[in-house]
Amino acid sequence: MMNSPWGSSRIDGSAVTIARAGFVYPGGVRALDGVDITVRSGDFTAVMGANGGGKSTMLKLLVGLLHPTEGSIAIDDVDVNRETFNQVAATVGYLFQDPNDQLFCPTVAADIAYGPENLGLGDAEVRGRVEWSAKTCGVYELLERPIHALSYGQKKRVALAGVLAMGPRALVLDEPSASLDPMAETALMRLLKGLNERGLTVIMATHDVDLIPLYAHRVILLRGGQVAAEGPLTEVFAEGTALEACDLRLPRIAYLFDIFCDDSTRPLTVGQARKELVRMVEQGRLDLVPILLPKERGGAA
Amino acid sequence: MHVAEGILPAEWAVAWAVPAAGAVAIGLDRLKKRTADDPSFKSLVALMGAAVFAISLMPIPVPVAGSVSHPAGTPLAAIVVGPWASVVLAGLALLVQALFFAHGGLTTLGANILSEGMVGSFVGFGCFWLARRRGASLFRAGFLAGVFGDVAVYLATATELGLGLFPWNGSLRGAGALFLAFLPTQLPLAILEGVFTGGVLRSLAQLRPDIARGLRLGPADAVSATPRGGRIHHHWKRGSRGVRVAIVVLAVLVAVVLLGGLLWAIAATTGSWVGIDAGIMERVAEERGRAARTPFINTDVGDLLLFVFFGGAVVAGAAAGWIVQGMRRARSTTSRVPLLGSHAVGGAAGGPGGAAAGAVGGPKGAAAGAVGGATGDAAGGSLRGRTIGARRWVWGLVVAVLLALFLWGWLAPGLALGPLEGAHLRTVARVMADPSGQQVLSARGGDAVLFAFTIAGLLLGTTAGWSASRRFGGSRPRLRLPHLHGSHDIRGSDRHAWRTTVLSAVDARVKLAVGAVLLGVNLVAGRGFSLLLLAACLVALLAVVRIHWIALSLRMLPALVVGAMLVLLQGLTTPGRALISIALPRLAPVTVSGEGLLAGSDLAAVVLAGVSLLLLLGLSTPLPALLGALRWYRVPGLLIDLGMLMYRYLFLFVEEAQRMRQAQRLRGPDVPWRRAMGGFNSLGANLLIRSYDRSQRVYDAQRLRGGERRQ
Repeated sequence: MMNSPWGSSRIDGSAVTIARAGFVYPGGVRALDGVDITVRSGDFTAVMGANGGGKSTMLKLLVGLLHPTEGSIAIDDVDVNRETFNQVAATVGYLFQDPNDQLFCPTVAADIAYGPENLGLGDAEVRGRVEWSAKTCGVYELLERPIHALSYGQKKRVALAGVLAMGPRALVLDEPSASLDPMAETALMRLLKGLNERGLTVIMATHDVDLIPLYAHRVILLRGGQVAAEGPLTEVFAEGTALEACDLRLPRIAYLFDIFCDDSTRPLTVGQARKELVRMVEQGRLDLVPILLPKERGGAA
Repeated sequence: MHVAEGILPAEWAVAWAVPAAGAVAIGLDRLKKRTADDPSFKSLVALMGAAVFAISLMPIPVPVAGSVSHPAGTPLAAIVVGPWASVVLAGLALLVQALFFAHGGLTTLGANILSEGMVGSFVGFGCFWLARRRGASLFRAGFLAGVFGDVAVYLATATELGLGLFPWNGSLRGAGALFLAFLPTQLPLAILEGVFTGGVLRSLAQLRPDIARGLRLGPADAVSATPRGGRIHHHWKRGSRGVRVAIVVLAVLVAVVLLGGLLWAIAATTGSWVGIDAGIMERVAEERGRAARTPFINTDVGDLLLFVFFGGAVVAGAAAGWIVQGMRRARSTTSRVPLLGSHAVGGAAGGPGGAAAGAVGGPKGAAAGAVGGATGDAAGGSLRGRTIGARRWVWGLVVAVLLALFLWGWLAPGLALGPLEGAHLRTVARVMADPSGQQVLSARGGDAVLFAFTIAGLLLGTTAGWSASRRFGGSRPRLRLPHLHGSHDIRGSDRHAWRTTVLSAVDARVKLAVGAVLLGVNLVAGRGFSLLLLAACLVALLAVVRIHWIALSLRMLPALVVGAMLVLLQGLTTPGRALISIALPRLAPVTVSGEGLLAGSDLAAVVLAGVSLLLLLGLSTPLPALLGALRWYRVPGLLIDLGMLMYRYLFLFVEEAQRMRQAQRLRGPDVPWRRAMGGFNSLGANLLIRSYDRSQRVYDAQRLRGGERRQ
């Protein structure tokens, strides 16, 4: 019997509030400074920024692995601090960047079951959650395998299965697509998107500007530990300057459109680009022939 | 320095297991208390333990053996996580080694935990602590810990074997002889361990002084950072003059203790040695109504002895010439990196070599050398020695070690007998000083003639072996078996264990219980049962587990060497009807008795059966399943948790170490030994640093999934 950890098809996602949060590492390095952000229930939010911009620190503050030296953080109105760590951990799932940090049990089944067992669930419930999580993440056939025998992509999926088996209402992911091959990356992101569509709040840190427009609703840009921009994806990506200020860039498809046309149209995904191209050709605003076939046209002339 | 499965009698196996269990229990209790204060300590201990274990699997070059060996790592583990935690880790590591490699054993687990875990950890940690308190640098303190930790382990192992293998009244003398036999081969390894331990600690402090402080490697104010050339170089504060004097005093004290041990060992072996010295043997035999009769082969007749020595030297020389030439060829034809699973245990060169040298030297040397070879890590992977062939000094050092062993074989009987009646070296020196002396003209082949014949045989054999290897050895190294699972190939063992077979379907609890009962019965039931068990296990390994026969042979090789040495040892030390008698000038003849050979073969059968059963158990059951079974048998949960974590990260660290090793080799494929050793130390330090950092992340991951509720 497979049990979804949430009991129903709809997930009641958590809301996250970060109020003027700052963090200084013991060595004196300030990683975050006056961060003020609200993530609504069911949002898919991307936290973006250059290396050292404060992304990982912010995610660790969200799950209580670090505690803000200034300001506060709340998950569904529960203040994140040392006393509420276990309560928050049961609500928010955290996926480490390196799955080898997260998978500490010798076998896949033991690792996925680790969290549900600690929640004090019965054997049948634990087994059901393990099966559900493993099937959802596509690792069911690996259940009896030792962790060290898995590929990197498989480890990532198993790590996510271990987090999902806890039945979180928000997922915090630190560069989940890093080091994955394109197919594994697509599979992982589709899975996250599917869960998000059921109501799960997703917050993920990433550098991948080509990937994010496909999945995220909102974007938070961090620069030097401060929020450089925050808002709906289309707004933040509308101008390349904010991204460039954070050592990022626009998606490649947007650059391609800069070559095609002079107006401000700037699609962020291949799908949007296709629609836009069709529209422009139909309106007679764009003649693709001189762009795609310059020699033939010149020869005919 | 593992005591192999089946060597110790049942009563001694139990006698050592009880205090060992107590030591592990104390270690667990301490660990539990420390974990209660700092919950992340458990993952730190497990990951650091896994890192040390991974490092101990890496082959490092041994200059004097012309081969590679493995650091034991116990002193390092004791320094890094504390001696009591190190005892627990050693217990786990020995369990894993017994199940994965059949090194050591389950019935000898107690003895091995006491000698390697307890003695190695506490002596190593004690030396480090004392030296650091006196202001010694990290390298020096680590060096002392490595050297004396290892030597203490040899002493403890010799004592355990002396008590287990010799009659009660001769056990101390036996232990002394064993310790003497260990020294020539194991002392270089101990020095290597010292260089490794000190080097890793120094590199660790240089790379990450914060971790060095966190691990309490020294006073917190001992680390200072000094900008130099744009980089930050950290160094430990040097000791004052008084501190240096204290170090010298400490070194002298330790040397006195060691020398005292050596003298004790010599004293223990002097005088009458029941059952070995032919005169005494004959007297005892006569007292028991079994007078010796003329042996079948008597080298006391004619010049037979000369030819025995000459022939032996030719064979030894030929083997050495063949191998060294092969190593040179390997250097020129391959740049393969000696990685995990491709190694040679230094003890291999030392153990059998010591035994051979002992056999040349005299009965006591033979007995001592035999067990020296038998109980060392033995010939586990000596076949892989050629991979380290890219060393210019191999030539000189191989010859040096052969000569050293040879001379030791001549010297040991003199030391053992006390009055230098039979000390060949001294006789040779006297004869050389007086060429007209009677010895040279001895019709039987006096010492000088014997010496000359042996050297000539060695030279001749080496030349022949060298030429033959060049002519017939082919362009590629002969001993090229990297794809097969060597005796230390942990990943190969693991792959076998996870395969689906008829045996893997059996519950691990059942297998563990049946295995333990069979190992116990094997100790007391006699030769018939052992042979039956051996045959059954071998058939199961080949037919059910489907291990390749060469891989199986490699894994059984250490046990075969141990068995052969036990046969020789018992043959030489058990009174009875003489089958072979070799007369030695100015020494009592070496006599091999039929009864001794039979007794030795019984013991060898027990060892082989025990080892094959362990292999069957380890290769048909994944370690997590065995640990789960142990949990079911009420083994403390903390120990099982540590074992699970170690198992999980051991493979990761092995891979990381392998990658770092490859990266080092790619940027310097043929570096001198000193630089290679420096690279190895840096690798060890980096691995410790990574595991230290990772342990915090693993602890975080556990907490995030409710791990604190489990603590």
